[in-house]
Amino acid sequence: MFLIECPWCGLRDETEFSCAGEAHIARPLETEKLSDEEWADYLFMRSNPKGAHREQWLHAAGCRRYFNALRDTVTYKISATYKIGETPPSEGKK
Amino acid sequence: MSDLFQQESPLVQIEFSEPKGAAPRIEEKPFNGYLNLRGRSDHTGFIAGVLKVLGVEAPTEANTVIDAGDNRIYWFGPDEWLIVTKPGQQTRVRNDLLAAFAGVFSSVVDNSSGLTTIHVTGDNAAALIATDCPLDLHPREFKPGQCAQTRLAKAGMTISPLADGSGFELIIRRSFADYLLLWLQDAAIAFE
Repeated sequence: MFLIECPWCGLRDETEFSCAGEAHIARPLETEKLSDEEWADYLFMRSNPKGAHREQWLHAAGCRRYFNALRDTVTYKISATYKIGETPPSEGKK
Repeated sequence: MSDLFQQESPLVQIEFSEPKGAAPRIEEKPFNGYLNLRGRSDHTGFIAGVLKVLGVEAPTEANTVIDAGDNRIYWFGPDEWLIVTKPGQQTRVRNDLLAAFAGVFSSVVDNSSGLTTIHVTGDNAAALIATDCPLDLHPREFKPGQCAQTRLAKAGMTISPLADGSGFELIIRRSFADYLLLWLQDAAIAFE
C-alpha cells in the first residue's frame, strides 16, 4: 500500500489521489500581449525533470482539495506535501 | 398534491435480513436531510450564522464530526461541511441558515435526495468494511468523533465510527447505494 500525506487529512491510500501535473506554473499577466510561442509555452511545455519534481495533487476521494507535492520521478518517493500557497520546502528535505 | 408522492428510499428494492453467524448487521437509516454547507470558517458572519442556527460552530479540525442537537456536522474540507438533519427537518434548517447568512459569502445546498445512511454494526463490522476500504479502521486510529471521506469498493463514501463503538455509519451516494448494499451483503457472507 502506497500512502500519500494530504496536508488536511494525513496519510491516505494512493487510490484516493490523482495527480494534476506540474505545480507553481504562474499564469502570465497581460496574456493578450503574449506571442503564440509564449502562450503555447505556458499552456503545454512542462519541465519533465529526472529527480525532484513539484507537482499538484488532488485528494479526489477525500477532502477534494488540491495540494502540492515534492516527488522524485525516479524513485516515486514523495518527500514533502504542502498546501497551495505555501512556500515549497527545499528539495529533498522533509 | 404532495400527498400523491410517497418518499422512497434508494434502497427500496434491497432485502435487509437478520445477520447470520458472525456477519455484521447492515441496515439503512433512510430519509435523513443532507445539507452541503460552504463558507469561510474565518468569517465572523459565517461562524455566527452556523452558531445561531445549529448551536455550535462548524468543526475546523480536519475529519471530525460533531453533534449539534438533532443535527450532525461533518468536516468535508477547510471550507465545506455536511449537515445531517432528522428526516423532514432539512428545509427548515436550510432556510434558517440562508436567513442567518444574509450578506455572508456562503452556500447551503439541499442534497437530501442524493445521499443515504447505512449502519454496519457487530464484531466484524470493521473487518467487513476493510475488505475493500483503504482506511485504517482500528479504534486506535479511528475513534468516535472522527469521520473520513474515502472509498468503499471503489465508490466514494463518508464513514464515521458510531458513538457506542458498535460499528460504523456510512453515508453513501444514491447512485451507488444499490451497488454498495449488494456488495456489502455479498462480502458479509464470508463472516457467516
